[in-house]
Amino acid sequence: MGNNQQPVLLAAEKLRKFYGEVRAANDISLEIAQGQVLTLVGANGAGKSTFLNLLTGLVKPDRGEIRLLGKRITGLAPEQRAKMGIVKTFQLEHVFGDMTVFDHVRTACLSAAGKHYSMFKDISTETEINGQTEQLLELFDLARVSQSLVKNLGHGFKKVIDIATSFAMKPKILLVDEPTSGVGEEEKYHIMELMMNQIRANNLAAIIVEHDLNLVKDLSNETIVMHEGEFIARGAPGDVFGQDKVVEVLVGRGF
Amino acid sequence: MGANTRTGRMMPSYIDDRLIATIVLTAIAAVIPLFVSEYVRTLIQRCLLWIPPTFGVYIIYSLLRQVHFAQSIFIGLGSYIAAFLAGKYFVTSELLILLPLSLIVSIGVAYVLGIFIMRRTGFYFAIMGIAVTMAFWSLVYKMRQITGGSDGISDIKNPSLFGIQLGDQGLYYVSLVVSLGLILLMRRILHSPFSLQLRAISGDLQKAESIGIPVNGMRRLAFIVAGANAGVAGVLLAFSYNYVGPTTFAWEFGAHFVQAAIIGGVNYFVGPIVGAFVFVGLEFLVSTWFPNLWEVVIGVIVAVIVVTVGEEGVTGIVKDLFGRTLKRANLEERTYSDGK
Repeated sequence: MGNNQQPVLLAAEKLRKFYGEVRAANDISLEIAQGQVLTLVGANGAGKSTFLNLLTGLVKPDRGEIRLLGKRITGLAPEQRAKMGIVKTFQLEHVFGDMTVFDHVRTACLSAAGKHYSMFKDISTETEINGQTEQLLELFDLARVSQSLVKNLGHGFKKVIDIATSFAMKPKILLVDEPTSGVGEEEKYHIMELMMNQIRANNLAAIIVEHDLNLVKDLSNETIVMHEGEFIARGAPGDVFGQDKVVEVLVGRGF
Repeated sequence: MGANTRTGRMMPSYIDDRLIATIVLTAIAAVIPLFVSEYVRTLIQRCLLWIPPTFGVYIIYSLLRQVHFAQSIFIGLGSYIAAFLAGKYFVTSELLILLPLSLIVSIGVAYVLGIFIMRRTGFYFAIMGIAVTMAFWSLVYKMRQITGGSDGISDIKNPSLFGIQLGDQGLYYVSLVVSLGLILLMRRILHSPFSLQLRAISGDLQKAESIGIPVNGMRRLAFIVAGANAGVAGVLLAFSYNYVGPTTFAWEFGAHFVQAAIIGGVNYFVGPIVGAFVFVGLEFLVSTWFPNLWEVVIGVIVAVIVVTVGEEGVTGIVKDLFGRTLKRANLEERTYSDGK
């Protein structure tokens, strides 16, 4: 938690979200500091996505509080939280398909700079924004497809575009929902490497939801196992995955 | 140079062709009143004044993917402002007062309506637009004492500009300048940071929110831009028709701009311009021969366009027909210029 001399960046306190009988989040608490990378594992329906959505504001909690650098942000809308540095990448495809890759990333750069209502300026004269965009495309190895339409690119590309777009927001904490779902084995490691390099280079905090347990071991030395809306285990992946209750939850009772 | 090629869509290499085309067309529009009858001039003037409200529909569709039936509210506001101030309660006919006043009123009304209407999308957005328009229509229709009810307000004299009384030809040139000014302004807005973020909202709402785009505020501003265009055109349309009636507020009238936008082709920036000319031109031609049938004819044309070319519209058809010829001409040019 806040034990690595870093102050707490984001804190969730007793977050609860029930969908009827389904307990998606059952009074869960978590503190994460700058530069801390956590992985979140659990079976389908364990509440991983709900937890991330509670943090971004896409889902409103039944009760509980969320604080960013000590400031209460529980009532804020997703776009306000994104501005403050809580940025999420999506599990399913959420991209602006009709845009070029350049415009896709540029949109986020403009948004981060607060240029929402700039109507009378020609976008090509936004040299600073355009420069930032080019830089991000270089960092994420997207410069060669800069002018392609996003919808014409493959699944792996779309994932990287989503991540690059999130970085344009200059996040403090990145919430990454299964960055490699539906992506081939080889591409998977490439995407993860691109992302982790940038997370480390910018000393960002991150919560990464991932199914591939081998990948989880590489990503971080701290993992949390989620089951029925609760955190049931936490620690180094090597230790945690050995625990009986974790095996039961992740692999199934039959084994 | 590198930056320009990266931002390709914004700075096409054939921008000079477009500039030339704009200048040529404007010059034609400027000299044509000298050669045609008064009637034809009035017709072209109406075409010109149909462009801004059609651009409003175009912006809402091409950026937000919503169908905007409520443009008639703003045309109605502008028209009645002109009819009240320059006609019924003769206060002033100065365009430098009427146009800004209509602009401010349209922006104000669009701001308030946008709070409600722009919270919904798709079917509900379209229906709410129609509902609000009907409410306005009914209000104007019922307030007979002030608005003249179904009789409307007629005999609106020509306006003045800088205190100088305008003739019919003067009104034509004012319409041309206002329309052209708004077209250029819309072009700028469509290439602005604002528009790119609007495209993000219609592209994927959740993703747009997750990168900090204030969805409701930006949608509302787009609605205001569309309404302001119609409000300004409304003032000049009232002078152009010499008459304002409650049908100006009718949602069917608002639907005409949607039809014009579809006819022109919502894939092209020139779509609303082409659409306005084709719609008003057809309305004139067909109603000359079959006075009661022009809406049927236009309805059929819209249906045919939607089924066959969809968002391409007449602009797309023309481009297809003449594209090959144009391309050949271009190629020949290039062969010659290579030799230099």
